[in-house]
Order: sequence, then structure tokens, then C-alpha cells
Amino acid sequence: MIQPIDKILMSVKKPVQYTGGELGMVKKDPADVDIRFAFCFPDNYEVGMSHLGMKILYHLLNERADTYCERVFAPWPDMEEKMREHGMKLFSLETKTDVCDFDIVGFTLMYELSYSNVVNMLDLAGIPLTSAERGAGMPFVCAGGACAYNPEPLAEIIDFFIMGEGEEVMGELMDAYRDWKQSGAPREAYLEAICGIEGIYVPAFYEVEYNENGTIRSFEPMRPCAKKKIRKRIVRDFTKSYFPETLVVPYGETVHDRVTLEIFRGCIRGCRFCQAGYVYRPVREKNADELVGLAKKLVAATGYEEISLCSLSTSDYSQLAALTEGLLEEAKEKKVNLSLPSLRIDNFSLDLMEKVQTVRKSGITFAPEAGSQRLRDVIKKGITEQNIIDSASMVFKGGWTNVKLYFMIGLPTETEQDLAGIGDLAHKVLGAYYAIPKEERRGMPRVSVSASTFVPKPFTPFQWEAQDDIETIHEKQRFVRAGMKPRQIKFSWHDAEVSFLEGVFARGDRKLSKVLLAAHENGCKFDGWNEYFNFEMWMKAFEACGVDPKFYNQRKRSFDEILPWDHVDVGVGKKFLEKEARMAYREQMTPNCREQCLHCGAECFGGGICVER
Amino acid sequence: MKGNYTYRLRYEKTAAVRYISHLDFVRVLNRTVRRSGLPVTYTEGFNPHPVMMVALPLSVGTTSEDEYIDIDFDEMVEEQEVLERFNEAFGGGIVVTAVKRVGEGDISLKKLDEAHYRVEVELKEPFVPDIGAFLSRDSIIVSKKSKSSVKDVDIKKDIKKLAVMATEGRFLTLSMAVPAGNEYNVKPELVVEAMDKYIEGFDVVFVQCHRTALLCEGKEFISK
Repeated sequence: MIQPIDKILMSVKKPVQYTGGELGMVKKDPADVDIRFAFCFPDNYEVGMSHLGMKILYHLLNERADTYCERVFAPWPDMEEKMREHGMKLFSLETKTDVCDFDIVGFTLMYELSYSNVVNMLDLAGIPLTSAERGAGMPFVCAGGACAYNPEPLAEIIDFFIMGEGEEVMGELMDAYRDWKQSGAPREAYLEAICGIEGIYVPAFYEVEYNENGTIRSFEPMRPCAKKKIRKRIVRDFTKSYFPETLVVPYGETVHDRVTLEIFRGCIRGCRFCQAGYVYRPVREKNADELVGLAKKLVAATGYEEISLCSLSTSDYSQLAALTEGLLEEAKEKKVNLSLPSLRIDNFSLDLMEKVQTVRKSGITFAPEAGSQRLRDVIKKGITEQNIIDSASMVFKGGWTNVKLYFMIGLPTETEQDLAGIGDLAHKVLGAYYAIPKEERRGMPRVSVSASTFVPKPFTPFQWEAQDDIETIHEKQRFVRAGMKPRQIKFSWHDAEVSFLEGVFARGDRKLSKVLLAAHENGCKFDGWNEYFNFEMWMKAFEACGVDPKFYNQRKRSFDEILPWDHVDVGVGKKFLEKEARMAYREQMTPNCREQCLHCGAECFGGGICVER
Repeated sequence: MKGNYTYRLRYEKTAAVRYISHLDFVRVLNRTVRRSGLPVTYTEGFNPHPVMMVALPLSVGTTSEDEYIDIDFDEMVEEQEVLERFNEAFGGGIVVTAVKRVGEGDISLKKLDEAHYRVEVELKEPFVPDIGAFLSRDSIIVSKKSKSSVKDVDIKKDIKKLAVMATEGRFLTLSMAVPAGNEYNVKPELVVEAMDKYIEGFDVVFVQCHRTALLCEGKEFISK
């Protein structure tokens, strides 16, 4: 029998992303559960299904007999058009239930450019877009993930935020929901109750007052239940933390379609531009034996042909040799590939990469981030030019010909000399190839230089910095490009307008909720995708709301300004960040977490490297 | 690369997985083989994959009850065990209905030359076509797309069987037999397109196909 849905699916691209039913999908009877949770990812299926956090929380929630967690992704615009045309609402993949019929709708916020998709998905679900408009019988809308550490731009849209790692807090939220549902208390009672759970933030319970210049004068809780500071949650013992022993294996292709092993959380380095390096502190490792055992179970359960490692700065994992040895053995036996992230180059890692096919294909990546030693010291990137040249030399001698170099443009204190250093370094890396005796060279060398635009982020020592304006970025990109002469060097760069918008929302306040709604009205969605990003429509939205975007991204803040995210406590303190910023201006490095504790504040969690030392 | 034993699987692609493309299906197969834990033969080299051959790709949206694949094994395994372990590993959607160890007398999947379909058609208005009149035309010209070009071809000789099985208002069900295989292939949609072109009042809104048989010179690959 021809079903109406088949006619729609046959007319859209990659219909398999809308059908669900994959291997590993959790099947439950919705009538058997008390809580239905719609886990929404504000991007398409192939991006969302690659997201590790969603995999963990999906299976974790479904371990509860009283809860059914289902997946929801943003339909691609061709599908959205058909859905709107046929009056179809946003639905879950597991049971094809309308998202508006769920108890809790949760979004994961991976990047600022997905915010317009959050709004669009709510709209497509038929759920009122702002929390103020949501009443009895409507789902609660929550959000968490990396970007939730500055929740303010979504303050009017999201009912409550989950700060930090969801593994433990999700259970507490579900317990509270079940109690509230049984009690029959009004909607607000649930929000009041969960304010008592560490890590939960209900933006509607706070009031912000502004100075005449637009900065924040005060940010105050308006109810007794609302805490002055909301501290993020973490898993203290990462080895014992929950990880599913099976995964949903997609039918269609996704971005990262393999077994991903998260080997540790946090990062010892503390590069001053890197938000992840501060908000995920402290560093907590998972035991190598545990990881090898997990890999075996996951390969057997999923049949995946590839295992990859996931962490920040993977080379800092203290048991890397034991881990890779165990994984290579499993890989050989089960005919699977091991794929490695970029590693610090030394004899060990080169030997390892020699054994692993996937690295040969993609070439080897270095991230000097800045072109001069001076600027690398400013950003606390603990590598020297000699490190890079020596590594490149080893790589070329090892028979690799493809080297990628990552840089950022627009870093604080950057001068023309620093920018010229990008081209110089690329030439020196290429020179390392030609320094090898002719008879030992293999193939043709290729140095790919990629420059992204620096975007200052909350909870970093650079959170007070001004971001370069679009014209300056364009000029700098032209300048750097002019310094790359030989055809063996390829230069690519990021769209400055995309970085502009990212910068606004990264450090935005509550006034941006209105802009977001206006941009949605203007049709903005999938801003992370070139083919849909529409800068003009965004600028019209800012104008219509009377909000100047440059106030957020191009304004240098003073250290004593109240920042929109000051009520969020990630452990790392504001005073510490200020100290680091001052050290940056003095072009001074500071020790990393393994060398010496700087008492950043993350000790308060009593876990990981802070207590192991 | 060839294994010691070749097993032939007959399977169904059910409606639940009709939108899996052929490329997706090959990936699903690789993973299913690994999950099954069966002693399947792998190719050598850095990127090993199971030695296997799919009889004929199935279009996105088309279901089937008569698909075949040959998979090489290093060791001999009971046919029933192969069937059970594959079904467990597929986890639904794709259902293996028969397994046979390929011997001397068996026809190669490469020799496949005919496919049968049951085709559901939604029309603009209720209509019952005169198939006899359609097939007695001198020629049935349709534009056929290949990888590189679009050209007009006469498919009259290719329509080996065509009949109306049922009608219900604007919906009718056809059965047909057309050439299939790597050499020459006619998609069932093309026959419906020709009917839409030549038969007055037969205006097609939507077509949904289900493959009922794959044959070589009229013979089945695993006899039922």
C-alpha cells in the first residue's frame, strides 16, 4: 500500500535519515513509561548521529524503565518544506511521535551557529518559541552541551539549562519530573524543584538590569529557590562513568560513523584561546584496560569497521602506549581500522602511525596556531618553531608528503610580523622536505595552511577581548595569502562573516533572544552550512531589534565588567582568568596542569588531576 | 581473492528499510558480517572487507522478497546456522529466508537476466488500462538514462509480461517481468512511464515497486 509519507520521502534527499529503525535503536512501548524525552540535535542526522554526548545520554536515559528517550534531528530544508506543506510536525525517529507530545524536549548546543535551528525545530514542532508562552500540558524545553556555559542568548527560549556533564544530573532531573507529574502541581513547581539540583539553571527566575551603555548593572535571582551561582556538574571518576555497550548504527552515511572511545575529559594545556581547555577541567582519564574492553564490546555489538579516539590533545593521555597496543591487537583480529587523531610527533607516534592506515590517507596535522614565537607565548601554545620543523622533518623522512598547518588570524596583540610568520613557517616546513637528500625523498610535498578567525569565548583568559571586524580579517587574510608563494603551499581560510556571528552569540546576553526570533522570522537556519548561511538576513534581524552586534564581538571589556555568564561557575575562577590574561600581555607562558597546579579553581570538584597530583 | 566455501543467501528487503541505498546496503552488510562472528573470508591489505557479491542493486524505495548475495567463508558452517546468525546480526528489516552452499551445478549470480515486480501505481483519476492494446503497439519509445547520456529506446521487446493484478479507485497494482542484470536492465518505473505516455487517461501520480523474483533463463537461484 502506498502511504502518504512514502510520497514525501521519495521526493527528498537521503530519505533514510527520517525513517529510524537502525540497529541498536531502543524500542519501548510509550504506554509503559512515565517520562518521554525527545533528545533534539539542532543539525541534520549525519551531523547529529556523530555526536558522542547524544549517544551516551540516549542510552543512559533509556536504561531507566520509567523513561523513553527518542532522537530528533533537524530535517534538511527540502524535507522541512514538504512537512510544512503537508502540515506534518517535527517527529521522533523511534516512534514517529510529534515532539510537542513529549514530556521534556532537550537540545544539545554544540555550536553557536545551530541556535537558529533550535528555534526552527521548536516552530516545526508546534511548541511556543519562548518559555513565557509555554503553559500547562506543554513540554519543558531544556538545553545543555558546550555552548550552554553561556546560556544567555537563549534565555527567553529555553525553560532550563543543564550545566556540565549530563551523566549524573539527567537521572536527578527524571526523578524530579516523575515526582512532579505524580503530584499534579502547576508547571512552575517543577522548575522551582529542579533549581535545587546542582547544575540546573532556570533563566526566567533571574532579572537583569542594564547600564545606559548596554553593559550589565546587576544580575539577580528573583526567587528563593534560584541560586546566585550555578556550578557545572562533572563525573568525578571517569573510568567508572557510564558508557553504553552498544550504539545505534546508522543505515545512511554520517560524519563520524565508527566506534569512538573517549579516553579522557579536560585538557592539561590551558591554551588561552581555547574554551574547551577551561570549561572541561579538571583532566580525568579513563583507564586503558577499561577502554580496550569497551572497544571489544562495541565492535562486537555494532560491527563497525573503525575505532577512533576522542579527547583534547590526545598525546597527553598517560597510558597511550598501553591503549594503542591493546586496540591494535583487537583491530587486527576483527579486521577493523584504528584511526588516530593528530598526535604530537615523536618516535612513538610515528611508529604508531606507520601501523595505522588511516593516517597515511589524510596526512599529518600540526597546529602552531600562531606564526611567531612571541604570539605562541601569548596564547600559551607550548611549542617552538624548532619543535615544528623537527617534527615536519621526521614526518617527511617517514615517507609522508602531506602536512597540514592550522593557524588563527586575529589573536590578541597580533602584529603584521606575527602574520608574516605564518607564511614563513609554512616555507620552513616545506624547506624541511627539501633538506632531505634527494634520493630519500618520496612523492611531491604539499603543505596545506588553514587559517581560522579567532573568536573570543567565555571562560577563557581572552573573554574580555575585542574580535577583529570583518574588513580587518579580510585584509589580514589577503596579507597572509600574499606570503604563500610556492605552488606546494595551499592556503585556505574561514568565512569572516560566519566568525562574526559566532562571536556575537558566544558572548551574547539575553537581548539576543529577540534577535534570534527575528532571524528565524527572516528564514535563518542551518547557519553552519555555507549554502544556507545568510548574513544579510541576520543583519536585518539585528537592525529590526535595535541591537548592535558589534557591542558583543568588537568591544574590549574591562576586567571588572559584569559578564552575561558570570552566574555560571565552571570551577575556573574569573580572577584566575584575569591573571592569565595579564600573563598573556606580558608574553609569558604558565605551567600546564601536569607541571604545576595554578589553582585555577577546578580543584573544587575534587576529581581528576587536581587530586591525583 | 576467493574463500574456501561460497554461501548464497536469499533475503527480503522489507518496507522498514526500503530507503537504504545500494551503497548504504553494502556498508550494512560489512557490519552485519562482523557482528555475525561467522568465519567469512576477508580481502588482504590495509582495508580488509568481506569477499561477497550482491546479485543486483535495488533502488531506493523499492522492496523485495527475492534478493541474493554470495559470501565466501574460510570454514564450512551449517546452512541453518548461517541463516540464524545472519538474521540475528541484521536485527530486522533485512530478513534472510534461505541459505545454500554454492556447488558445481549452481548458476552464477552474474548470469541473472530477468526480474519480476509487483508495482503499485497511484493515478490522478480512477482508470483501468487496456494492457493488450498497449503491448500491441508497433513500438514503445521511452527516454532511458544511462550514466552518461539520455537516449530514446524501444522497450516493446523488453516487456516480457505485464498485467493488471488489482484496481481500487485511483490505485492499481501491476505485475511485470523485465530484463535485469549488469548487461541490460530495464527499471519497472520506465514501463509505467511508457504507459503514462501512450495510454490516454493513465496519468501517474506515484509509483512504488516491489521485486518478486530474480531469475536466470527462467530458473531460480535457490529453488523454492
